[in-house]
Amino acid sequence: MNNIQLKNIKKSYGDFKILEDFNLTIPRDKIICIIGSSGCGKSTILNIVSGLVKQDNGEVQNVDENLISYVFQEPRLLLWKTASENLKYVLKGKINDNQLDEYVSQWLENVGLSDYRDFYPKQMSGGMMQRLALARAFAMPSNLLLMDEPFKGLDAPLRHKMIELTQKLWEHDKKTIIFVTHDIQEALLIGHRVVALSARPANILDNIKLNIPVSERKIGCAKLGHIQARLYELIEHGSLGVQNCKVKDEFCPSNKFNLLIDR
Amino acid sequence: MLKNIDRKMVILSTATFLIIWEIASLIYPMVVVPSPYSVIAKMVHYLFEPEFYSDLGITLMRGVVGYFISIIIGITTAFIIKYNSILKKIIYPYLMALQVIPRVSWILVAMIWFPLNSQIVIFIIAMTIIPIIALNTLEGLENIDSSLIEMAQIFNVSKEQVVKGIVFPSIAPSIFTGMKIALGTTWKTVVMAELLTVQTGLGARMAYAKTAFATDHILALTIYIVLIGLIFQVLLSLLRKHYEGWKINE
Repeated sequence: MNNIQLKNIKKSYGDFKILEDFNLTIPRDKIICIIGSSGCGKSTILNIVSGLVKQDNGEVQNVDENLISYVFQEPRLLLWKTASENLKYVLKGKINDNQLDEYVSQWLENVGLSDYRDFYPKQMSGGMMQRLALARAFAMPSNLLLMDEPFKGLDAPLRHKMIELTQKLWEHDKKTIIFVTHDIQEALLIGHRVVALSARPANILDNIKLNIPVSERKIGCAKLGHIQARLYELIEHGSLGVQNCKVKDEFCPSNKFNLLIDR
Repeated sequence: MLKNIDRKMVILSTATFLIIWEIASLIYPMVVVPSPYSVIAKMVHYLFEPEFYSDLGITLMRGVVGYFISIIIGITTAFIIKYNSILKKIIYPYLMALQVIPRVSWILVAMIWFPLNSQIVIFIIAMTIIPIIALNTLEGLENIDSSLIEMAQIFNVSKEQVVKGIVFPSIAPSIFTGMKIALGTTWKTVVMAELLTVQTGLGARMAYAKTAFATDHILALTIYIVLIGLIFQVLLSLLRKHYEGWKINE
């Protein structure tokens, strides 16, 4: 399948220019994280890719709008349907009726919600609801999964568990994931590639491929710390390239650093 | 419904009410305050009178038909207003105005427009409760969580499923609230319309009782109308419980 291409995308809301000639290539079957400060246009990129928002100019290539799933900041579950009914609601007509029950049970098990299949969302905790939203997105027969700061409202340990779960689910079904977050650490734990955006209108400050295996990425590990410090500096000060970043040599000599990432 | 209220208090207050009523009936002439016993006796008497059942049936028919026609028209009107801004500008002010038109005004014009039969009663019910249902449904439609519609759009859920799975469950609480208010209004309206316009039904019976100064009959019929109203309210709340079962476990 061809890579997803965003070409010369322009988007303004009134006088606010959100995106101006924005170009990005999104590799297939990988997790790509888009980071940037609040309001820089990260979510707008997702909304344009999903077709929820129409760009003023430019084009999105190689996206089939019928094969997209989404994990939103809020779980967006139907409160009047149980956990299994919430999954069935989006899967109806996409999975054979006679296989639907088993398919739903399998996905509830994958996210550890087997015992809660008949529970309504209001009877679940915030983390469980977001797990159900994750199951819904992965269970959907899609080839592109968009995630818009999905773990924003959760506390740190729970957020970490959700990241691990997302990785596990991705291993099971390797969809292309565009994961938007303002949390650099989150991006470094989960992403195969991290794209750092400037403040509005969003420009790509850096687009790096992480050479650290996911299994070696732990919170507080030195390798991630080096990259995190650089990306933080980059987003904070905008125009600095990673190569010129002043924190680089304090934390990690550039020859070592270059082994951690590719461009 | 009574589970939450202390049963002893209910018995005590009913007993107090009956005692005061009995004392008042001893002080005032029967035409002003009939005794509770005579009212209950009339209620029992009605049970053995076949014509009573035909009047009861006709009142029930008018109320139920008027109520359901109004619900269908009210909900349809709300959808039209919600999804057509031009029609909204035209219809909405009329709905607001309809709400404050006195019921007797409808009764008087309906007596000129319609033959004096069930049609007139159903028309008056409709004019009274259509705005209640329409405005409540509209409020529900305005408050649908657009983020859920967006979710369904992205997950490529069919339009039919969006209406069945998101729109109706979202507006159901508002529709039920409108239906509850409208139900009370229906029985008050049907009796008033019958009393003033037609020769059949419990309202017409009340009109006859009034000309004969038979206050005990009036009160006995009133109690029957209250009972009808309560039975329908219980049925409606059972329907609501069935439909909104998910809320109970919150």
